[in-house]
Amino acid sequence: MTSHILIVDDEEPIRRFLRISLSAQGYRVSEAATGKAALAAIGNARPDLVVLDLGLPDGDGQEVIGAIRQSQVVPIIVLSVRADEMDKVEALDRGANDYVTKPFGIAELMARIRALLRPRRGCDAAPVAVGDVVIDTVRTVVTRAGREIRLSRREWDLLRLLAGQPDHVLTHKHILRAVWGPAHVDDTAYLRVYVNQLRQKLEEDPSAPRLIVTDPGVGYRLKTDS
Amino acid sequence: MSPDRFLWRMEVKPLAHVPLTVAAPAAATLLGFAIDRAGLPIANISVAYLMAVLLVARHGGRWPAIAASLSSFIAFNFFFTEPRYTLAISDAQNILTVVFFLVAAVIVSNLTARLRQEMEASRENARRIGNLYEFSSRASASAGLDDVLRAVVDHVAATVRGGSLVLLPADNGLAVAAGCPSRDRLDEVSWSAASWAWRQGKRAGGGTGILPGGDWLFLPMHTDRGGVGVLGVRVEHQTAETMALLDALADQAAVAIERTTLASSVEEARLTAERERLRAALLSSLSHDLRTPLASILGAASALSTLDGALDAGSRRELAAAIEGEALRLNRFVQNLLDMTRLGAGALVPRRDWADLGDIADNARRRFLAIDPVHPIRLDLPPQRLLAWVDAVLLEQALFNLLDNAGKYSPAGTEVRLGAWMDGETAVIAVDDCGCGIPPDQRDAVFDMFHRVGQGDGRTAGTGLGLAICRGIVAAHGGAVTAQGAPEGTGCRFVIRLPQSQAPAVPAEGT
Repeated sequence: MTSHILIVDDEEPIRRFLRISLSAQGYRVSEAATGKAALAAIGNARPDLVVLDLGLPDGDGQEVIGAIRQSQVVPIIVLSVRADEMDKVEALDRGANDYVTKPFGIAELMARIRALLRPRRGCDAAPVAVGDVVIDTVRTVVTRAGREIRLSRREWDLLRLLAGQPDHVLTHKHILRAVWGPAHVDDTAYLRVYVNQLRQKLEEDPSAPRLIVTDPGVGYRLKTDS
Repeated sequence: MSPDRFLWRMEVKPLAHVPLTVAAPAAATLLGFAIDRAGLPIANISVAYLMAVLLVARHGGRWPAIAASLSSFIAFNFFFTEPRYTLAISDAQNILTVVFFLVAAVIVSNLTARLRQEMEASRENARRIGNLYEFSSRASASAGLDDVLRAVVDHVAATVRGGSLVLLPADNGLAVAAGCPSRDRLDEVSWSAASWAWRQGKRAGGGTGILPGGDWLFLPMHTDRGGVGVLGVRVEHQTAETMALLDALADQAAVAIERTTLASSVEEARLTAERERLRAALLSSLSHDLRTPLASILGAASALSTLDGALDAGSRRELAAAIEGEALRLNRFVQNLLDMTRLGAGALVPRRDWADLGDIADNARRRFLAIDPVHPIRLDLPPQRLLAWVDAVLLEQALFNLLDNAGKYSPAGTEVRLGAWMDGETAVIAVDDCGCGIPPDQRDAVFDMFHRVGQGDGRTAGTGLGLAICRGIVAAHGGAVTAQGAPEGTGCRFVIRLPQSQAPAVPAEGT
């Protein structure tokens, strides 16, 4: 079954380029130029994924995210010309699933779309394999080149959280709340230290990580495709 | 000399010379008895009295001297001339003695008085010169207008032991620019006097014939170029010396104030020239650096759309890749312009959080390799984590700009090294290249906007903004970035130093 993608952007050239590119990849594409039209289209056509521009003529895209999330769980990828990380973090905190900064290459967007359209992982999901690292969240075992790697409890909590949504960016606050608790959402230093420890144990070259990658100013993602 | 001592006068105390005026003739009388007892001629006694009169004239001035000469004559007449112990004058010679005493008293006291006046005048002169000298050294030590004004009002107030004001021309008339004690209001009459003094270039106010109703006396301050402002003083006793000194001070103050305004207009002209230069450089950069990629993009895109059928797949891919690459270049340039504008507007406030310097370095490296695959980068990081309190996104941009710069100025295939470490409480990041290096005299100028080593046609393509942005970002973090010679071989090294505080402790846990 082909996935249906809704493109919400007021710039016609952007919509055209996305429509051509995504159709060529076999997706079914529909378009909306305003937030209002987007909400109507989401209600009627039930797209499988929304690509949403933050700068819309009839209001801030951030508001549109909130309106969508009141009733829908459809994955949202935010497009923004603003290189401002605060906007990205706000969009993610409001419920967007990922972001791409304009200008962007189609390869970057395609990778994000593929990751979001992948079937959601359940509790009994198969182990995540990246390179020679295998993360088995069911058996709580992580191996590298077949050898088991010993992790502390927090290291494991952190890795399991990232592996639960591979290729999705998780914001610092989200990770800190899930692993350390609501009292520690601003203790970014904890996160830096534990990410560093995980990289030392899992990465081939910890100074040039390929597994746990940093989204500067935003968060981290566990990367499965290179 | 302290200005406080300046107006000390030798006060006239009329009774101060009474003891001497009495004692000197008395001593002469005693001496006279001794001379008489010795049987010497009486003329010697009159000389003793003459000595007494001269002594009083020297120290006491005219009137004590006349008093002394009269008392000396009476004593001489009473005790020593015949008939003794009477005041009868029997001899014309004795009358002559009185006249001699009086003449000697007047001449000597006059001489002494004139001498003393001359001494006083030259001492006064020395005080005035000292006062002016002290003022001019204070004024010339002051850098800005405010400092000079402060020096003027403090000095004048101390000199006259009263109050002082400087009024400078403002939008409509005059405004108080400084005062000691500080004040910004004046009564109506004083304002009128000040305005009159400013318009007419003459003294006005208290103690003068013009608008004398207020406490304040106003002196115009002017130089060869014209009026500078008005000096106001409030002084209890206006003496001729004070007025002369105030005139001299007003002239000096005028010169000092004018000097600062001249200096600031020179500085303003320099800034205007600098702005013009930057604007011209920005325009030339915009027209060149925006148009070049646009020309490639437009050319390649139009080739794709018009020659579609005539192009083979390989050519189409090549044109599309050219469009992509040039668009990315354009994007970097626009990003640089945006960053620069934000820096210039003071809008670039780092959003600091704890970040891993190794992570930042790796991200900068990845971004650099995406645009410049021909310079391998060696990361040089210690195994322990390098937590720093920085804006990770901005610092990554600063590092990227340093790498970009290194790539542009070093031959393809040569290594660029990117290292980071802690030096005590300072985070240090260094970028070394194997390029041509930077002459020592240009190592500071390379951070200027639009500065490029090797101007002219042969210069390396670039916006001339990267290093200026890098410096702006590092400065916004309270740090410093410097260009140095490479530690080994040719090339250069850029070093970022960021002061840090202690990283927070992260609680340990059992495994």
